Amino acid sequence: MNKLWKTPGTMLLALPLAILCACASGPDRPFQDLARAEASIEQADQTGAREYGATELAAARDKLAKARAAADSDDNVVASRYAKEAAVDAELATAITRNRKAELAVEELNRSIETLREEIARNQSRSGDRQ
Amino acid sequence: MKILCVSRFLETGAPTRLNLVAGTGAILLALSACTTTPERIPELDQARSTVESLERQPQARQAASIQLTNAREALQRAEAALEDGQPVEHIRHEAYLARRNAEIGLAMTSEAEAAREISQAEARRREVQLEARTAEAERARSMAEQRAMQAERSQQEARASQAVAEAAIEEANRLADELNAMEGELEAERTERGLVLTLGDVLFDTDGDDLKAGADVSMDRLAAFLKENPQRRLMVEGHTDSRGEAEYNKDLSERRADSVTEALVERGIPSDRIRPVGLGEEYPVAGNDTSAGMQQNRRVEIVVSNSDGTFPAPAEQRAVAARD
Repeated sequence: MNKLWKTPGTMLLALPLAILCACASGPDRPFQDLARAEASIEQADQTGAREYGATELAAARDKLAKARAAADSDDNVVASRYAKEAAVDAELATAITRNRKAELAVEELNRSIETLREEIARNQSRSGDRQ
Repeated sequence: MKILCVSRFLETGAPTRLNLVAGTGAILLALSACTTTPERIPELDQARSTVESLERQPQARQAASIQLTNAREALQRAEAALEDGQPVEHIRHEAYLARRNAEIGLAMTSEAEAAREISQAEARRREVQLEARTAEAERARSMAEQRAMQAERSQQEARASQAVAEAAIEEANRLADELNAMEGELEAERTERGLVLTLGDVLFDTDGDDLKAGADVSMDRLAAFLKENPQRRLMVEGHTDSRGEAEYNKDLSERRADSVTEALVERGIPSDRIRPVGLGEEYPVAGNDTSAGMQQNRRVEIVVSNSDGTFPAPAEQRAVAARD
């Protein structure tokens, strides 16, 4: 056996085989897509998506898990799809959360203005009584 | 795709009449078959409509330009994959990416709108606060101004009424001096009823109402005074002591007051400037237990009016009480 490997002829034969093998197994593990999905989920989490974008965040986590599983069984095309979809799900969770928070801030501000106006109106009518 | 199907059929179809009918039916069949042939992918329809609604947002280009581009590109890839007859999973995947990117874009556009509202609302709040403070300051200022004006006004009024009072006192003193300087049985005195002149008992007969000749000088002076002070009027009060019936005394006091009035009218004073009042024995100035006191009580008092022709309140009250 050892003898066989050491002959240059065998080496020449093995190399194209190895290349062929690699080709047949399709694309590599989608590291970039997986990393982006992980980062997007992390960001959604930090934004507070668990409160306002829970459905999207859960979908993202689910798809990331599926992407990893697919990648582990060398099904890298499917892994890439799942990872990409996980990333946009997480980004949507973030966007929904930020939008909801902004809307709440608008409501809060409008309420405070209304309160202020009422207070002013009360003050004016009080001083009006005095005169 | 449709055109391709139809043209392919036409090539093979025979142009006979019978075949034409069959051919038309076949074309229709082929047409309907062709339109249903490409599998309907609901994810793609959703993606199209979501991308469209993002494109309709005027703010999308600013607020979510990357998402808009991503969504369009993914949708194009999905459409191209459909054209190329690529696997449905791949088309669905690209359509999903397109829809999600459009949804992200919509959320970001909405957030940008909210942010704009926040900045507007903050500006409005500052405005409202400023208005409130301005109104408060204005109110405080106008109240202070009013108080200052009121203080100024009451000060002026106080000064004015002091001046009037001083003038009245001065005038009364002048009148008293003027009358006291006159000869005759007149004595001017400032009382709460105003300036009062007293004509003594000696000017009348006992129990009589005729003025004695000795009163002429006093009457002349009084008439002269009235002519010099045309705005003044006189109230002539008759008084008696307490001897005899009260009714009789009241009557006597009235007649004496009338006598004085007549004397002045004779001297050219209009009767409406003189007001005779009989007060009887009601207002003694001394005790009725001595003859000296009784003599003091038998008198006629002449009250000089204010410069506007009215009498000071205490004098007016006596006159009104006597009439009842």
